[in-house]
Amino acid sequence: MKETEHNNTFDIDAVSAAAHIFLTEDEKAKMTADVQKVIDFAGTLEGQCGDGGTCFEERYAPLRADEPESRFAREDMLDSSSSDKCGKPYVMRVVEGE
Amino acid sequence: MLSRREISAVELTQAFLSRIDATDTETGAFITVDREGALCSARESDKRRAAGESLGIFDGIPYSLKDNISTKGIETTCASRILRGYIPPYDATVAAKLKNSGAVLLGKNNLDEFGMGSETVNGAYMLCRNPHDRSRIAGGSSGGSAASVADGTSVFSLGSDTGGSVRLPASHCGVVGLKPTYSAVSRYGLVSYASSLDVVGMLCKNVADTRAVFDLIRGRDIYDQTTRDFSRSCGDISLKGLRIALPKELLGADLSDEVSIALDFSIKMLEAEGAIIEEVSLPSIKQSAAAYLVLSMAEASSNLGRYDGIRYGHRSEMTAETVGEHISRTRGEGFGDEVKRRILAGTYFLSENGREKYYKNALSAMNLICAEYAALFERFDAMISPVATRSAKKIGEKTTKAEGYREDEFTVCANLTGIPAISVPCPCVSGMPVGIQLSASHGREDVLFSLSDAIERGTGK
Repeated sequence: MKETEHNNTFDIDAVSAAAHIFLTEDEKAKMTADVQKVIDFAGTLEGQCGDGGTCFEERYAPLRADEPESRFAREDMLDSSSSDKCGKPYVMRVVEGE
Repeated sequence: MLSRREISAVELTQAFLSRIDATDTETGAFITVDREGALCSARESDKRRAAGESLGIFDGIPYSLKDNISTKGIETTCASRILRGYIPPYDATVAAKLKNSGAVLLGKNNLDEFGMGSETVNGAYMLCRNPHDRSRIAGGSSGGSAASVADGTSVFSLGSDTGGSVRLPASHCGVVGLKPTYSAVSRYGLVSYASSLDVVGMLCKNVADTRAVFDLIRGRDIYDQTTRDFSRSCGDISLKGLRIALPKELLGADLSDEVSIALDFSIKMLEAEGAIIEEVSLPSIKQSAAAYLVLSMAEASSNLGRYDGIRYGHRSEMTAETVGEHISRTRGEGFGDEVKRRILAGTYFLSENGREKYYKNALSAMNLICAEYAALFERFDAMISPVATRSAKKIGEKTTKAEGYREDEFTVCANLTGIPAISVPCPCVSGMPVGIQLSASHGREDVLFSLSDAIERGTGK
């Protein structure tokens, strides 16, 4: 997707093309403002999260604590090409399009 | 009554079907009623009981499922045009477990489209009304499930909770709603909204039913690799000396009188049984709504990418020059406005620039919240808080975005952290139900049930 964002504004034509959703001109007009408000609210996280980290390992640690055969421990389940030391769960691989 | 043969499963099922006929046209809790299937299951249940081969306490009990839980041979729409006519070739694990227990499936409950909403007004087919006051919302997105239990058109229902979608309608409809620990219940067959946040939950009339349903449907599933068996049983624990946190970020002048009264009532009930309640501060709650918004929409953008009209569901009849254009038109026609908004925002959050600025920040915020909650549960056994700032609002009543994000703060942390949380009804003072929320650390549904029992005893139920 070729992006033409400036200052947190987004290009609804580019985004809807990337999402494969056809929008009428009326829908574009209605949704541009709505989605921009959502993006602006999401932007309030900037500078608020410190060094929270992004690794999924801490999040799923309670699930793995006493499970030696969990999927996270099995090498064949990990994405071996990932530079992340704990590998990436399926969800993250999907959203990053790997 | 079933085991004493005071009533047959067929008579019981017919009574519930008659109730649906009498009230559901106004309530809108059901998208699909499987009359034939329900009566067939009930007849089988009666045969087993007559032969002394009852399958257990659920054999012959009528229930319903939110319409985003796959049911073999029964239409599953997620309240979306894009899945109109879609009939799954398999049962979700939770549906299969209930089928194998002999419970009688009455039908599929209404919801906000794909679970995206908190009022059950965003569905493609009909909106759902609160049985206590039909001019008011039932809450969402499992509004149909909550309304059916409250209205007496099912004994219990399974819903799904991604950001409060079991707890909020439970509070608004005056029933018990449990969001189990993430991984305690299989998501196989639950139509995905945000896979790292979605949990199958249950809505029941009382705590004992909730405990029984949870015990039935939980457990490791080979079809869902995120599941595990939690070793703790759901027996009673003593409340004496139990330490309960009350986060000050979820108190404030914006709480309605009815919610404040319900909270005070619950605290009194728990203190009367020896629990110790202490006010604490969880500053990361203030980032929770934004973090939830980014992560859920990003995952939704990915998960809903599968709906292209190629193999199942709605397909556009407009001519298109390319496959891509055809898919775009199908999705444009099939998705409702709220779903489109969330997919667009989620796509933006995952774009080349958006990922660094939004998605990774949201992951950081989520980890901060998890760390804060982990530290909290080192010192406390549970947490008590409101489910929302108020009882159910009128259908069509406008709220600001800020008010909406504030409401999210009450429920989304349980999904971001994966901890279990339950909404328990409190006495009504305004005529509309209000629930109070209890949370505990991972796998500690036993704590939630014991605390909820105490509150329920206080209401005289």
